[in-house]
Amino acid sequence: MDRELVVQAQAGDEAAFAALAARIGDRMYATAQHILHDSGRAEDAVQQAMINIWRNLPRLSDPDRFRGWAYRIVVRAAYAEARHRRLWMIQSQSAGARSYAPDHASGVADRDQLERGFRRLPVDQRSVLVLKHFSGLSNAEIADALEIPEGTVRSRLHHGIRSLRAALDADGREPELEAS
Amino acid sequence: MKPPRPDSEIEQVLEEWLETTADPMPDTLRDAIDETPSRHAQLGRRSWRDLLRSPTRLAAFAAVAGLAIIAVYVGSGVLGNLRNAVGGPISPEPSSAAEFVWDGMLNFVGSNPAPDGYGHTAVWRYLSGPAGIHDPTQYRPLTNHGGEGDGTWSDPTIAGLAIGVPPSSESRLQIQPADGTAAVIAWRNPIAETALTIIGSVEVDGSCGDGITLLIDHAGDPFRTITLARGREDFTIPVERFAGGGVLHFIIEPGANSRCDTTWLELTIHAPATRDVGE
Repeated sequence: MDRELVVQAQAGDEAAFAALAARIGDRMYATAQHILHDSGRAEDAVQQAMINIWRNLPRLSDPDRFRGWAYRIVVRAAYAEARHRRLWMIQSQSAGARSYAPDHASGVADRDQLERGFRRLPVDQRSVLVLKHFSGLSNAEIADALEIPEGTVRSRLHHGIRSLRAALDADGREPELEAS
Repeated sequence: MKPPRPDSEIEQVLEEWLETTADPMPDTLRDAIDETPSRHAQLGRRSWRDLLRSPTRLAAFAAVAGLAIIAVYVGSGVLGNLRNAVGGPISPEPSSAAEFVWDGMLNFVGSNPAPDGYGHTAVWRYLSGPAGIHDPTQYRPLTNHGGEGDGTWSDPTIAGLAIGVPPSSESRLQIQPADGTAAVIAWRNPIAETALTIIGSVEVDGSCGDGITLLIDHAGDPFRTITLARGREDFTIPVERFAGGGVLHFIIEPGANSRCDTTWLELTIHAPATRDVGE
């Protein structure tokens, strides 16, 4: 990350902020999208996060920590969106609506199986997996971003991967079971 | 029977899937981000759209709008005192509803006591008090302020206790009680006697610990007690009459200990527009 841009944006340089936002925006948006599984909510989360980043940037004491700090704000914004969505989903389910129906078709590719498994993960596990394997944050940076101990990061990564393996293996066994 | 796949294989499939399914930002979002600095300056700290998107806030809006209509019909000079209501300390926005809204996060501005967004001083206070004893005379103001975002209030003599709005807390207050000590937020009604609706949510760190208790208290008499081991609970508390100058206390008490008791509190207090008693 360009330290100079961060410093300029901290001083209120709107062009520097725009350049900074252009550099991180796609990755931030994709991170929020992966966590939320909803493009509209991801847009809202990133938009809110960018406002928070702009507002709080002058108070960031170490410009070199911008990346982890910015991810933290995006993830928290995504969590806030997830909370709103959960509330609305509870209300819509009480009215008889249900938005998800699992696909039990066998013989689909790993990626499709993985997607199904990923969607079933709790948002806490999805977040650490996305930050680790997509955003490229270290365990320490993830712990900082999510404000949880590093041990919890490792635990969530472990459980997340185990759940994905179970999803892949379970779907992969279906043809054998049918053949027996 | 197939052997289990190694972690590295799962991680590789995951990384490929995350990468190939990552969409670029839509142009509409890119445009909105470009306008962030000017948009922030116009809207203050929270957009009207954001306020209305939350179901709890929508409920508040409806409740207070109803109270406002009643107040208008009851009369007694209320119409002359209608005022714009929703807004933070930076740039209050006009509201179509005749209501006051005090928002615990928006009014958190780094002073203790803190003003509201309408020019009233000493509306909010950030305090500590002995856990289990709900005696306002024993509450002490937090004296230290620091940290990122809008900062955090603490007391150098009470390890761990904090009330703040760090950047990560988003639109909520982040509160940490200490062993044997409650963190307390006090709100003083800066207007004349009025009906109130207290709306919010409380969420506690779900990863560990034995939870917290939130008491919403007036003069040692709790309106509501919420004990949470983990997760979140929403609350809406109508109060028929609340005296001008009266004080509400929002008390976060630890369980047996304060381990993992980080608590997030979303809090707004709503009142229909009425005569303003000033300071």
